[in-house]
Amino acid sequence: MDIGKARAELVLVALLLGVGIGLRMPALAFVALPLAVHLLGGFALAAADRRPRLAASRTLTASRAWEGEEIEVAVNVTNRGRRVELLHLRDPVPSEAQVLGGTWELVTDLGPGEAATLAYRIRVRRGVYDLAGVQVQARDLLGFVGWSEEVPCPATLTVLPRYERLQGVALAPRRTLPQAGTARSRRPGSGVEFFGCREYRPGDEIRRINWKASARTGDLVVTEYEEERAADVAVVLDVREAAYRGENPLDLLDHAVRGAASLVQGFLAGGNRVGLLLYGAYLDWVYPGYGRRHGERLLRKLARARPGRSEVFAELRRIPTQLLPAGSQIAVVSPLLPGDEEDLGALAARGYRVMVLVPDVTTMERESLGEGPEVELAARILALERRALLARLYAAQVRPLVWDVRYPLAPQARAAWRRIR
Amino acid sequence: MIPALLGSVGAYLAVWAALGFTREPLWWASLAAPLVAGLGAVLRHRGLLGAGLYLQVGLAAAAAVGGNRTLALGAVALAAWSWDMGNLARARLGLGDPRRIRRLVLAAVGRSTGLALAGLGVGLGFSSLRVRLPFWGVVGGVAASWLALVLLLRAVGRAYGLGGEARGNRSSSLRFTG
Repeated sequence: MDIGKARAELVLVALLLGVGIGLRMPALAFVALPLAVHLLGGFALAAADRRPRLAASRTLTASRAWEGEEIEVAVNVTNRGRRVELLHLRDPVPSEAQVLGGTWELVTDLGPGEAATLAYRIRVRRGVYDLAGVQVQARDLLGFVGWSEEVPCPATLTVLPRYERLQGVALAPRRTLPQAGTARSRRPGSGVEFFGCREYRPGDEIRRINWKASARTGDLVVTEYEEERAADVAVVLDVREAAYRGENPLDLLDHAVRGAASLVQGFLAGGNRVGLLLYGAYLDWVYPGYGRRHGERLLRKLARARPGRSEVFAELRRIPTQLLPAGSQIAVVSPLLPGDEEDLGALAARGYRVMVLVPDVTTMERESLGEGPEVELAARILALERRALLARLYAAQVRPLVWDVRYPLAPQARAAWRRIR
Repeated sequence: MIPALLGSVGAYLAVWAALGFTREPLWWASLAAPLVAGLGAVLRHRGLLGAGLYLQVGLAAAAAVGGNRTLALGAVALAAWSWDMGNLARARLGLGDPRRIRRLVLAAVGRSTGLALAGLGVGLGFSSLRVRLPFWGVVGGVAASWLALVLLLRAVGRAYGLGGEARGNRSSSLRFTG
């Protein structure tokens, strides 16, 4: 309870009375009288307002949304006690939210049983937001007695990253799973890619006989196709703070998260077993799994991704390979720091198939830099550095894709990763 | 904001009138009182508003001692009214529905005016009384009034305060923590 105003007046009255009587100056004591009446009257009227008994409820048009979507929030505050003369309601909007319209702060009076509503529209950045309660300040008309509290009306808003449907991305890990999938298994079986020819054996399907080869050799020859199976895939999202530079590092991270989400969903759609590792301040690992529910779990994990700093995980060489099945496919999403290509090459040397998606910060920020010879020169230098980086990655047996984030990822991924090198 | 400014200027003028519109050089230092109160009203600053009230009541007390007591009482009533208006302006009323807010403002102005007039009336009534009390009688009366006021405030605080909240060790742990 805030009675600061009453206390200030009380001190003044006491001062005047004390000095007036102590110095035998009745005029001073008389001056205190209007204040004393003001204080007693105002406080008595204010105290008629008991502590407000308020209840609040919150409604969201969607508790699970995609980034860029509009969400309508409505907070309904009901008075279950006596009349509140002056009520200031404020719903704390997340700092990452952009308010598009409506009322999230209101001053009103509230009679018994009456309700006040805050309703507004927001657009929120990717993330998981715990909306706790509405802040309430109640007071009497003259401000003699006031109360401040937070009325709980909890809700969780999950804003998932958007992703693209990737198709035609070829996987060829050294080891595959027994289930059917889209990864090339390097063994003959039922598939669509040509694998080889062998002599006919009883039981082979007649339609698999390669008549041209049979005519050349004189014996019956059948065509074999490469079996396509599911694979273990680990998507590693680099969230090291040092990797996200430039004017808008969080925007770059958002692009990286979208890229990782696209990869995750694309691999899951291909029947693969997909795990996710957020590599930054600490290791945040989601065990590999299949299916839609697992895809949702991974998206929620990606929604929470924030850059972090750690001396231990400053370099990619600390990627915990014991978590990744031997011979599996690793997809790293990272803007890359100098020296990372060596660590990725070390992974490839251990038998992992490594692909890396590099969201290109230069193309993202090029428009905001304007025109000029210095900008052109810087762009050329960066393009040369990128070309050298790509050459080093190819030499290290890593399949890179530098993603021009101004354009969709799917066609660029298809062009870069369609074929197995 | 404007009523608060008008109130503080009115209180200042009342004090000046109580002192016979003096033009002594030292008097102009008293301009600080309405300035501080006005600044508090404009900036909606609680501390400045309080300081303004204290300065204005101090001026009124000086005027009551050395000048017209009725005008000094009026200045105190105006200062209290101005303080109410300043505190009302701090409530960010612009965030509300204009019709409701107009009704609230009128009610607040009415309540504050009523209290200020009642205080003025009590002050004038007491100052017109001619009662002879021994000094220690006055001291005892004031002490008794003070005690009554403190007890009243405590009782009000207990009745309308937080209430019903647990005290003491409220560890949420269900396990033995020793």
